[in-house]
Amino acid sequence: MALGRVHVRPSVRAGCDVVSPALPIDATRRITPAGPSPVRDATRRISPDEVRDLLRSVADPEIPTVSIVDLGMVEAIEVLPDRITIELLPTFVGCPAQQIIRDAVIEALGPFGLPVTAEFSFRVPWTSDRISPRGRERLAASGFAPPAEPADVRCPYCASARLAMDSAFGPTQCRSLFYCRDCRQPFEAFKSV
Amino acid sequence: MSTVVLEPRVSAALAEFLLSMADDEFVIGFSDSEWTGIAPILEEDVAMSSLAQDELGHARAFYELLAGLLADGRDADAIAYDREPEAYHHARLLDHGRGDWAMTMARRLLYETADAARLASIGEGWPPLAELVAKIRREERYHVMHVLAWADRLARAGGEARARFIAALEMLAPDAGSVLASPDGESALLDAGVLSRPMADAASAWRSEVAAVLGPLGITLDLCQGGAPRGPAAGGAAGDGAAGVDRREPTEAFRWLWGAFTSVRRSEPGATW
Repeated sequence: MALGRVHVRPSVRAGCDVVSPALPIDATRRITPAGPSPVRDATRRISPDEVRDLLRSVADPEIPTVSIVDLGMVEAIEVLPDRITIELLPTFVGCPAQQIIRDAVIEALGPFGLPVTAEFSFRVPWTSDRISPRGRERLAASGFAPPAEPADVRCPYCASARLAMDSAFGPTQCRSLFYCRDCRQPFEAFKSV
Repeated sequence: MSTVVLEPRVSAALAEFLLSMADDEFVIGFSDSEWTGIAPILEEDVAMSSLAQDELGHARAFYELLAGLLADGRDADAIAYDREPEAYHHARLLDHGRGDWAMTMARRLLYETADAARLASIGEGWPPLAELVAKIRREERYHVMHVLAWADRLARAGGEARARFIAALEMLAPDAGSVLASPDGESALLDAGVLSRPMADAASAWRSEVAAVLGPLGITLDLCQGGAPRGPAAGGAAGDGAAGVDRREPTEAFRWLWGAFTSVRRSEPGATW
């Protein structure tokens, strides 16, 4: 069941989303992975950390500057002799980007040369507390206020607390719309769930 | 995902309960999506579209659990779309046509508060459902915030806004309890811990909650104690719902909505979208 639009292309500028036609999957992988490219060596055991590092190249297409690792969406990584399984947590139950993210995960782990199973689960609820400090920094740098209770949101441009929440609902399920009364910039804030 | 083997009587009751919850979220989601493009203000256009997307997402997750439980070869889409209008088990409250903005907000108020009471009644007996509900409740918090703000705004505005809001609440009241009707096999669900309290208790908590919202606004609403049975509304269209008639014929309003939400699926049976 398709549930709405997915924004695949990067924002035209920080904090400003655009509606764009769907691009090929690799457009969602714009974060340069850390470290050398993994090469499959049958005699070497792949560590979960290596897998996690490679997953840092996969972004939620609706928040292209933050990896799914920093968003806290990667719950479990299991490396078995014959396959790799990844358990992912959706930020929102009805997030329409789930299929794209799952495909991007499978593609990103291709260099290991093992079949990859990536599934979303609700075993643990994703909460906004799972976003890493680095993830919060990158969100703010992209013009998104990191998750906070509405009264604790700060403007990502000038850090002002003199804000108005225009709407609890924004262009994606996970974001609200705010306006900064000091720097007069509208911006989006991650919902606190 | 944890596997818990369920007794046949529990799994039959659970299947019916899941279908009711899924159909409720599915129908309210589609009803809300009718506001996309025509809501009174731009922010509400976005809000209603986002709410609809949430509800349809919840419906999909419930249908997927149901598909796994039934294991009869149907996937979530087949369960969601490949039924005749008579086979949907949504609450009567959702069988009315969309109506105006005041009616939409009145219904959202009654539905969201009842749905919150229902979600709070899910126990740990079947982990896949308990886990999903834990996640959904975090999202529904925003839905409740949204509709409480509108209830306040419409009621305090006075004049036509208040009059329409109250008229809509009174029109919907007889059907509102249908969201929390006791499911068939409720005792099996309680024994297995799938439910942590009977729906009658949830309904009682819900009536108090609604009274606590409307009381400060000077509105008294009679939500019938017995709780309307589940099933289609008595009226043929918004505005004439009557309580207590367990008529199994869907309303014209629901038939119209069904025609709209199944049209793409029916246009090319078996296609992958």
